[in-house]
Amino acid sequence: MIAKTRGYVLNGLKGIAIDVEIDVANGLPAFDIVGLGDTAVKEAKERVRSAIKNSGKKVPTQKIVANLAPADVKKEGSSLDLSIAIGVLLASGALIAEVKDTVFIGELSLDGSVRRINGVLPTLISAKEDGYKKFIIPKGNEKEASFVHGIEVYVVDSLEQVVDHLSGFKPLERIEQHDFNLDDRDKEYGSDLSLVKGQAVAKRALEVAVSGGHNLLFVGAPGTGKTMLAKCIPTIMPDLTFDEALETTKIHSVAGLLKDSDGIVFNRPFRSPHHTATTVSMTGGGASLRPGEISLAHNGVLFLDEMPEYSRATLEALRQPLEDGVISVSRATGSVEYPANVMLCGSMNPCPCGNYGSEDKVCTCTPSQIAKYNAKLSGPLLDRIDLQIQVDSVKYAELSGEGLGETSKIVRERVNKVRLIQKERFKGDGILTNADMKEAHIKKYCKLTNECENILKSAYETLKLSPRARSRIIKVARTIADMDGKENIGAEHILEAVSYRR
Amino acid sequence: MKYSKTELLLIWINGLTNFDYRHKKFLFEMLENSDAISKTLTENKKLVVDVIGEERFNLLIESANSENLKNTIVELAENEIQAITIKSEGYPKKLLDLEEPPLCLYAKGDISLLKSEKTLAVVGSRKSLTSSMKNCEEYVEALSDCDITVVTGIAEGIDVTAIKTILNCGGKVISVIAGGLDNIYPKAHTEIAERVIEKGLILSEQPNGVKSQPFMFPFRNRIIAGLGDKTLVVSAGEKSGTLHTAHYTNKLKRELYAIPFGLGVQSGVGCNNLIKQGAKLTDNPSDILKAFGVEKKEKVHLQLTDEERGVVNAIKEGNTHIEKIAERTGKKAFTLFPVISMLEIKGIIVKNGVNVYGLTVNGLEE
Repeated sequence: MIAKTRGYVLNGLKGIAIDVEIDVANGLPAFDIVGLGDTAVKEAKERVRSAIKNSGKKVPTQKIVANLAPADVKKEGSSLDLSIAIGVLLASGALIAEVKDTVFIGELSLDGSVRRINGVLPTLISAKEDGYKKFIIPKGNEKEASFVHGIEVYVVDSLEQVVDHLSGFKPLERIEQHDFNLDDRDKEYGSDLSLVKGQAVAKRALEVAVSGGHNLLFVGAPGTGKTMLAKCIPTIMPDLTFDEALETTKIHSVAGLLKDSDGIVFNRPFRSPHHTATTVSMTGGGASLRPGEISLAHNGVLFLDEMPEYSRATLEALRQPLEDGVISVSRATGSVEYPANVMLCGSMNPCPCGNYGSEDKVCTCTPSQIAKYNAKLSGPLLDRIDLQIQVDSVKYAELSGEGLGETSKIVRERVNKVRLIQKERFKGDGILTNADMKEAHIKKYCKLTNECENILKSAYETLKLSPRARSRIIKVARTIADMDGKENIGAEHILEAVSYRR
Repeated sequence: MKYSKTELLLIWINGLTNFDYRHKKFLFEMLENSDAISKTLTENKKLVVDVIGEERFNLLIESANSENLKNTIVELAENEIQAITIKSEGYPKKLLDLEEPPLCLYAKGDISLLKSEKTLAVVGSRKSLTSSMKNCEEYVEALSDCDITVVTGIAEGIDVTAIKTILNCGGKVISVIAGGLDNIYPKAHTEIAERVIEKGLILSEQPNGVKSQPFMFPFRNRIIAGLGDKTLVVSAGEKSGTLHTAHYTNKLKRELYAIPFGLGVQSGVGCNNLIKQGAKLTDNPSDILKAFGVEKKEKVHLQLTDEERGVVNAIKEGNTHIEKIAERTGKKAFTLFPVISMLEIKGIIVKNGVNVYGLTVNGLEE
């Protein structure tokens, strides 16, 4: 007898509907799975067999063939276990139920329990778009599923529960749906701007950077608090909207980083991969096309500590996603697109020994060493980092112990306002922040008075600015003017922007 | 270019590799009045070997043929290098005061600069504060305004800052390098050297093909000191190579100037030590100009706003952190950025480390 159930597999962030066809027929007892499954899918037969047996059902001693259609799509992972098991039970006549509209997602354990899997949220969203309404998913994935509205979701602990539910013997209650509410989060960010003492200059630069969505590079000796400052960036970024949270959660769900207790990502992510990170771990890829760090930091901050220590290829690979906000990962197994809209925050020492430019310490590096160190960050990459500022040594930070400064919340409110101004201005331009401005936008929105032009010109000459610096300065000046609530860029805005340089 | 017989002899002797100054001088004195070099050498073999050793003697005999010398001359002409020997007319008299005046100088560029009436050697540490660079610029600008030729090396830091500034304001510069003229060290400065050749003069005591070696730099410094009527040390660490130049200046009994530094500034310890030992303290280019007997051209005083003046006053004591400036002016640190950038652009203050600002010579006058 033939039975048909429906499962889902993930390709990137997109779920693909899979028809699981099971045929149980006379022949030598065997269990074959066909339809381009990877090892995890092929091994499902052992899990399915044991799970059925240990749930008190009988596995037919006949030839079982499972076909996963469409047969030309590669299938990965263990999410099809449940749909195969239900198919076997249906085909062997051990279960009689109507399963046409139901999607089964879940991995089986040998004892018949249903384990949680990664990527339930993006699967449900895709399936909902495909028009499916009823879902049976593992209990462990309940929280994330509850944020998808307009569908019927049942959570199960074991195969037995599924059978009981389908046969109408012990129907389950559909799960409660949750609204996205930031008050639900366990805790806010661990850091707060008020906990960073001193560093008034860096804090201001931080606010400018976040207000305009500018990427940021801290240059300073080791131990000056660059990391601590960077960790504060998410805390002053505007709160996640539901759509943003959903997008970020999808990625985290696929990567298996989602906390079961939350079910959704409430806080903007802060990712700080170590500098030994490979290019693939940064961009995403591998056999299963997993998202990389830049996608995991989507809508949040990608912090690269000791930036020149990363391999050149790794850093250069970030250029395109930084520009476009998405990264397309193509491998032999296929091609997927992950969102990668991040604020990049880097940190580096001024030279290999860390003392270059210091007033009281001697730098022991040779000029060629320093040049080599700085050259590790290519010009095109630096072009995408609008603010490059120096961070004080701790000595001064302690010196100005003015107690607790502004909290992140107060700064965040200001940032929200500035972001709103930008949103209004760029309506119809397809960009959101000043940092996204291209040359055409700069021409349109950053008209400079003669005075400003003159200042820029003399700054260029006396301070020996690089030609690349010009548009960076103008963009930052635009943000500072927005923070000031001014329609036009004034001299003081240009001058402040000029001061944020190395 | 035509060389006299004595000049040719000097060019040959100076071009001998692996011979030090003492050997060369000895050979010149012996051969100056000889007609047949090989003959004189063999006749006095014992005496010569005593001074220069057997090995070098053989080398000497080998290289003592007119063919060799001819090639050298052709090569010099091909590379547009002029050799100026101690017996040449164009040899700078100032060098004769040295204990070991170079026997031959290889020059590329405008050799009339060697006749400059007023010259100042400007030297400093390779690793200097930004403010030292700024000071160097100020001094050099004032000097070139008054037609004083600057003598320096070509290393990073002060040397190159001085050269660049002079080239920009059209002044006169002589750069003395340690190795041969075809071996500019550091290599990265080859381009600058070319600009110097175009508008100034590059000198070396070493023939083409000689790579600069550490011991050559201090020895080269005697030429810098020798060419300068006076010497200015812009910055120097405790054991800076710059101190050699100062040492030679003292030996020559010429005036030595040093810019003072605050306590604890590593790249200024040498300068302060020099002042302690009797060098003249200078904190304004006019000190040096006066010594040369020239007047400084009146500079247009910059107009400062009240805000700017406030910041300048807050920095008067020396290098000041922005938080301190904020404290003294009673403003928030970030609101000072526009003012500070403006002052930087005007050349009155300079960034001297992370968020630390100091006054330039210009600023001190204000």
